[in-house]
Amino acid sequence: MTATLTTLKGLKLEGLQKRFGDLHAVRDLSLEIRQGEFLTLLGPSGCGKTTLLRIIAGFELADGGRVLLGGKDLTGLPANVRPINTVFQSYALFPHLTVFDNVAFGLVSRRVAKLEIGRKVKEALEMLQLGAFATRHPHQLSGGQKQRVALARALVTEPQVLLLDEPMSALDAKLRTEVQLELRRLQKRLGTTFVLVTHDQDEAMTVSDRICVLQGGKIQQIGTPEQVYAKPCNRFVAEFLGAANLIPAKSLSPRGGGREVETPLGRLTLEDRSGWDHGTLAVRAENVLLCPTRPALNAVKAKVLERVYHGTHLEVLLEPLALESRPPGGEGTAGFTLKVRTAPSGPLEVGEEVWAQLPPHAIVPLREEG
Amino acid sequence: MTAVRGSRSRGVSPLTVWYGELTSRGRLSARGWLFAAPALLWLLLFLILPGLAVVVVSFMQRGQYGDIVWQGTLENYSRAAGNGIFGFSFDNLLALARSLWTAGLTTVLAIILAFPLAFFIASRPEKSRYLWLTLVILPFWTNLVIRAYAWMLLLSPDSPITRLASSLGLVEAGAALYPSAFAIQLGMLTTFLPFVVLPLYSSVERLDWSLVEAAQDLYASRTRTFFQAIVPQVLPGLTVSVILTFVPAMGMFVIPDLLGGGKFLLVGSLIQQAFGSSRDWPYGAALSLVLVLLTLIGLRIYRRYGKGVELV
Repeated sequence: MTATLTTLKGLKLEGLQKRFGDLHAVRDLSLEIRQGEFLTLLGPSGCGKTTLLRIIAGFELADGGRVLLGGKDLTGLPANVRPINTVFQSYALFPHLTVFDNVAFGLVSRRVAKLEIGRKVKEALEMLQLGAFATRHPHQLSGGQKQRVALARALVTEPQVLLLDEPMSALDAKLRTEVQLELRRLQKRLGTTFVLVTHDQDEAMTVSDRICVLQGGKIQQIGTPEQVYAKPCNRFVAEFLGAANLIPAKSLSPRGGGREVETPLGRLTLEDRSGWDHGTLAVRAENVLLCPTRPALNAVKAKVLERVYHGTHLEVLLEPLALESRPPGGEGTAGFTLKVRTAPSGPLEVGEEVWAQLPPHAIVPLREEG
Repeated sequence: MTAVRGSRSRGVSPLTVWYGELTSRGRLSARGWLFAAPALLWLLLFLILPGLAVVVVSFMQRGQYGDIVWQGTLENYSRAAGNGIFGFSFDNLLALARSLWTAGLTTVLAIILAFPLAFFIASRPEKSRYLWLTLVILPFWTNLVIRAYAWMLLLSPDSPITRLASSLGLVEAGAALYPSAFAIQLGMLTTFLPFVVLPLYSSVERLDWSLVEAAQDLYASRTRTFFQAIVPQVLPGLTVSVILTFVPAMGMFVIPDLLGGGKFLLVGSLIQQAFGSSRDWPYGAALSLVLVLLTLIGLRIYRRYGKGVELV
């Protein structure tokens, strides 16, 4: 019952299509965003995420499909009647208006009573620690302050959905992390549905309830940050989020079944390969274990090619050595390397030979890309 | 080693070249004057000196044969205000009011016409934009007087335009649209439209459309979006348009004389008559200065008003 209600109140995209000439920016895309959810559209530039956001906002008309908010069809409605506000990448603050007037803009458009406007704007400015800047003009503000004004301006009208188009891209790295956490807290407090567009996977992980990975105008995977990171469904997702080793593999038993697969690294045992016969396996760099002695399962003997110290961790590039378990005629290991992320302890020299283990639970069989 | 480094280049490696002696502030400034000299000389010869001459002449008297009698007087200014030989007349003030009205109307109408045109051109593909801009400035390739005569023909009793107007009942059958106040207005409008379109276009071309989207996103109506997101952005271009149109329109005499048939006296015509047929240079100079002064005051007010204005 509750589930249907929140679904009904949320944002629903049905079979959206958008073409720009030869470019198919959004392909038959359907997505349900629950009310009060923080959803991130994650993907590289040109994946269609910004187009999707602009269709939701009403700046772009979809060639096909529908946009529903709380069961109401918004598809043909212009941006200025949709209860959806946007924080623009460039912030798009009105340069001729003060911070106060910028924040009041939406309320003035809606002809809210003057007293009410004053009260609400003041509240919004205080919420975002902008009280002292009310009389300033945008050009007198820093990047972070501008971003907060853009947020206040978009939130003061109490929209049902807030869209954020790469709002952190103009901030420096240190401020960005701070703002991400602040944004998440703000969203939880207000309970407004937030839809964020970004190409930054760390940002997506930090703020989102769910991440929707886009590529080629299609959803590749949608799920919580944990799901998307730990169980990437295809090669694109595995490579886009974090550092992953991609290993081509095929089943050993011709009838399927069994948990053994054949790879250039030798025979590997998976925890579960139900319904999977051949293709690519993904192993996160931080899940590869380095062992002093030969491990019992999924052992790979390798030479250290490169060693980069990162403070919090050590990044090691391994070149696997030929394994005795590799059957004759199998694919060679030539040119194949293994990325490993490990604790920065112990002497590990370039050229040293080590044992690595790919734990069965950390090997994720990938689907073919859709 | 220490000798090479000297006291000035603290810790700087001896390989670092020190340019300080070559480009001192004095030298830079001297070079600046050198480069600016041709322009300054031009301004001095063709603006400041003639301007001063006009000021001086405006306080002199007219001799019997149209020469200048070098005796100071304020009579020219008194006459410019309307005190003639036959007592006070409103003629000059009327001419001023007519000029203000004609120039103002020309500016406003040109702006109204130029907005859609500028947006149209700016929204064309880059290559065809230049074609459209060329079309806008094409009339400049013809002399103003010739264009005025062209309008005379177009507005004459037998022209298709006049016939259309009379068949619509706008004018009597057989009557001409020229000479008339309408013909003056039409002539002025076509003359000054390019001066409004070009600066406006340069602003529209650089328009930040994200502000337009932000306004729409924040529930603004079309009117509010236009005045809050577009007008403030094109205001610099619009200011140039207004100055380039209003100021010359105030002193225009060719179009009013030719298309008004001499029946509609504007300030420009008064000045032209004073210098021309009346051979009264001191009076003409006084009239010119009054016009310049009024224009400057007007621009000052526009700037003051334009800065603090809260649009809609």
